[in-house]
Amino acid sequence: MKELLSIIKRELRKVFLDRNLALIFFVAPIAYPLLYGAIYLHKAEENVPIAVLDRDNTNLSRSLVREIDAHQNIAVTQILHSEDEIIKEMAKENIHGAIIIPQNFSENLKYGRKTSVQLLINPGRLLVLSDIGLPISQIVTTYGAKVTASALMKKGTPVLQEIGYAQPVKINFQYLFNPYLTYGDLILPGLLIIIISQIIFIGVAASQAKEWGMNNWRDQFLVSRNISLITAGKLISYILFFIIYALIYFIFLAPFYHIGYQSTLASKLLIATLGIAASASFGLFVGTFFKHRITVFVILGFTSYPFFMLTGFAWPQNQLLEAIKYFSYLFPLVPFLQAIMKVTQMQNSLYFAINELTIMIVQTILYSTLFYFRVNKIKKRKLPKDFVTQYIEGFDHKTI
Amino acid sequence: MRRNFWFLYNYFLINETRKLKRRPHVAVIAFLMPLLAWSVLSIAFVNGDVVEVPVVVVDYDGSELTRAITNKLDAVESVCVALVTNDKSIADSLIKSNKSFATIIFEPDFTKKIKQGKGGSTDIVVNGFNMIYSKVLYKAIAQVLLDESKNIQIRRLVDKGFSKKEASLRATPIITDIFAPGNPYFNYAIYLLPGMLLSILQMSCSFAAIWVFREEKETAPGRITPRKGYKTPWLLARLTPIYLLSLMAAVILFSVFFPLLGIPINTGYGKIILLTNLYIIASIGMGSFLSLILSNLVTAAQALLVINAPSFVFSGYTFPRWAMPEAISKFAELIPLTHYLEAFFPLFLFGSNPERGYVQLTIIALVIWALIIILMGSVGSKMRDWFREVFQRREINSVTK
Repeated sequence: MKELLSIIKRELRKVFLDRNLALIFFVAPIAYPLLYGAIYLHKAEENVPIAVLDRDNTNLSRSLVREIDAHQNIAVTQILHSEDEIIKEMAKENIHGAIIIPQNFSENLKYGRKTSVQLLINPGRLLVLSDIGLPISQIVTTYGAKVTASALMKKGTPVLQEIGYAQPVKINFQYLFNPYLTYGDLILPGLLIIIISQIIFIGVAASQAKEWGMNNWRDQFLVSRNISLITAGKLISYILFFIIYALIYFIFLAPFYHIGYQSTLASKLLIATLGIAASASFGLFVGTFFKHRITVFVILGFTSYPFFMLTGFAWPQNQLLEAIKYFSYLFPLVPFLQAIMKVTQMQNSLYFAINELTIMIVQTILYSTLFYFRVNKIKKRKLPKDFVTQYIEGFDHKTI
Repeated sequence: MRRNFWFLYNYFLINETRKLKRRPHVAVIAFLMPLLAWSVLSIAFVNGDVVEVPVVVVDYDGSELTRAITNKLDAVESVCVALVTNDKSIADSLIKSNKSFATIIFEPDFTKKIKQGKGGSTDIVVNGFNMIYSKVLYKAIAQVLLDESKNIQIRRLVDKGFSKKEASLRATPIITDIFAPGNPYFNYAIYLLPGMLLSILQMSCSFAAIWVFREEKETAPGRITPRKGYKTPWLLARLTPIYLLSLMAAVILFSVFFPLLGIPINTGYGKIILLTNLYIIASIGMGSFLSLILSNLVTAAQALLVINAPSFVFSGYTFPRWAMPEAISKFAELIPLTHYLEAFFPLFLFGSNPERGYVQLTIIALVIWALIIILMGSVGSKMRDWFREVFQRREINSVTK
């Protein structure tokens, strides 16, 4: 027990005394969530700017434009005169969509001829499709039915005004777990988990790389000769350290950004502990392959986008190749994020996340075992000549 | 002088090449790492279209009409009806365990109500935590149901003695045609991938450049600043391999990865290569600048990580910049990726000449490199001396106090 405590103390001291590690372990876990949280402060996209090309320019076409402009998602910001202008404005990102009302629009409507309204969506911003595309489509259809009905009534043709008759199939859309389908509500709960998991992975790997780079690997054997104890001590120290951040996220940051992590604190902490353990053991193992912290930051920096895509958070996991989907479960971030989302956002019991919890336990055991073997292998390596005297004469393990 | 410059440049360049052979980490970061990351992303996105999203139909009506609508839904490429049931709890449990992403509920007497002219109700419950699935399902389901609604209306009017043409006109007097120029099939890979792939290029260029003012070792302690007369050829020779390797990676990106992923380029490659050159020069400048001003190389790498990791989000690509707080939007303008994407999209989607982007990228590149040249000179060394002195004095003061 005393040995275990010494290993934990040694690991934590290493983090406190190194300026670069301290930045990762103390500043990044707080600064990143604050930064990302600020980006999505407004959460939803409102008043998406669109343009109108009104080739008809009549009372009817103008009244249709007013109806579209009145929708809360849409703001008609420009009246343009050609399709070229639309493409140019779209290319400049000044507008995200444009409506083209054809010539003879009102005449066609009055005489009961079919007409069409074109809606151009900025292909670089496809996510606005449901923000503006479908509301516009519905407004136009309702407007058409209204105008035709009044024209027919003027001609003396009887028209059934009842909505059930005019629209035989009524459609009611509901979005579970994210009722307003806002980016902020979608992204922020997962983002905090991605941040903490990546920081643990990169930070722990960098911390191991530092020992390797400074040839301090053998120092830990002065504290204990038992590699299992060293592995456990290191793992416990990081779990203890990062669980504090998990608590800060759940208790302070989540309410501040109105993120609803809806579950009992015990369930959230259980998932967080397993996620931290899996990420830390992965970091410990990967860190044994690096000799310098700088290489860790540079090489592992490249993993941020692929890891993010493999989680299924931005791109649905079901759309990934089957082999890639299974491969993604090697990374602790994937089950960690999925478990948190299932339990806290989809408001399931822990039972629904049993697979993810099991995967995290397996990952922790697997990566800790691999770390054990790596350390065992490194332990057998010969010391550089310069260091032999130092180790023979004794070594003050308090110095890092 | 001219001959001397090229002689020195050649000399330094040969030295650089030898160093790269000995310690190839710069080449790995500038060339291999982006290729590796792009390959992983390409494999992940190999199916750019969202297809066969599982949904459950809760059919309380069980009529011929609801079965026909279900079959039509199943025939849509993006939808797969995984189960038809009359027990909503099964659908709820499937949606909660992520085995289904939407539930379509036909109310009891759906057909009867339509026949009576009251209108049958369909509730669609979509898992809002998968933004892309939500948007795709919304589009597909709404389309099928609106089409069916229109067909019912037409059949009714035909029964009342209208001709088919008249009935169709009265059912939908205005049609809305939705287009996305440059991405007619609403392929989400075309939308998401280019931005992500190009942000990796910024990462590789800037990371590879952090050793520009250091020795080739990963943990080089002091800066290298050559003496007067040697500075320009030395710096150019130092940057040439990083620039060429980054450019090669970019050429592979546009000529191999983009076509493989079906990302169309609606313009000549000349304009894109010109823009990419500016982007590479600005990104290398970012890394070199940090290499020069920060005494600790690990801190420089950390600073670059802090800038690069969120740059994709800051660029306004996924969430618009105008919806971000002012300070963050302004900070995003200092990052080359923001302007590169601003200029790149009009080019590759519309083939049009972007007015913004080019200018901003040029300004960023010029400012960064001007600062580097100034700081490489006597001003820079005086500043560094001053900082060193101040910090040493502080250290002594804190010790004596």
